[in-house]
Amino acid sequence: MLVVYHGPGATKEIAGLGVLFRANGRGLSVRHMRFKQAPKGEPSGDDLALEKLGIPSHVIDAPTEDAAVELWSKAVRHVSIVQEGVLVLEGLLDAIAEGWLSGAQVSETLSGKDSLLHVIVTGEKAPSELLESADLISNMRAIKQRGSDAPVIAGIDY
Amino acid sequence: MTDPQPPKGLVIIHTGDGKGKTTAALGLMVRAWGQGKSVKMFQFLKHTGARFGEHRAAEKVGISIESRGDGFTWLSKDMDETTAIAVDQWAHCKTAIEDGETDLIILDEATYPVTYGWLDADEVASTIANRPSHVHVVVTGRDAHEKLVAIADVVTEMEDIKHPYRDQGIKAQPGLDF
Repeated sequence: MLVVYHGPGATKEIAGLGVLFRANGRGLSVRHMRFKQAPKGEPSGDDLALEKLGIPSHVIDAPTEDAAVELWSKAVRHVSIVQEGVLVLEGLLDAIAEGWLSGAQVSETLSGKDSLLHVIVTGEKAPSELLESADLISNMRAIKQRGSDAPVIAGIDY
Repeated sequence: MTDPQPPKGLVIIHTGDGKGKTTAALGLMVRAWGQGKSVKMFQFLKHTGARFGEHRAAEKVGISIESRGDGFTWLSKDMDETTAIAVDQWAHCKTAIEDGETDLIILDEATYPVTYGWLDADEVASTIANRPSHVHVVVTGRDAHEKLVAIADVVTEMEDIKHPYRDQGIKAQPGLDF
């Protein structure tokens, strides 16, 4: 299954974390890759949780083209070798939107994955090629949100 | 600079027809747990004693997920029983919300018992609105009642753009969907 969670809200990122938790509970092989900076605030609750859960995670320190390309090559390798489980590619859509990765190439690579490997891709906007090849797409739309001056909360925002 | 007040607890709703509502709530639960916050999830509708991926994972790390339900309402033979289970589950939720011992409380699929009238919308909304100020409450489910939306700080609609179980007749996948 190729799943795309996109939209403007922060909720899409935590959906990936939820899938990892659930799949880990089932004993599936799981892996996390983050193509953007961790949500604002330190230390990241997501990273602390992934470590406590023993879920392998690859993150880039700063969002640059080189870092995104290098991490994507890890994802390509994972998809070519691993035949089942869950791979979360957090913020991959944003790296594509930056022009650092090709939407067509990403779509082609992910379309070639084994059907028992579930890949979750998140970010703000998805390129048309990926929308075409995805099995499941949810758009996270903010109906009501806090003001931009609202305090950042540990455990909620990061 | 002083920082005398802990941040105010939020009410967060994940609603809409698309997938990802419970999953994102689980993610938030895991994030808060990663920060050392105390977390609890209460699931409505899902079978009492369900052993989904989230239950297995939570059990391993000592997170409490309490499910009280008899599955899906359209399969229920005894609506009084279904209502009674929801009322009982709500009593557990209410205690946890009011005692202030848990930082983040997730009321999973809680929109349905409110929409179906098994629980009183005013009672649920006022209990959440009057919680201890540091407590965060997350509610998931389709068609969130307007009284719940009214007391929420954050409402996200998961919009269904493509749904494999509808569009392609694919079955829900263990580990991914439950």
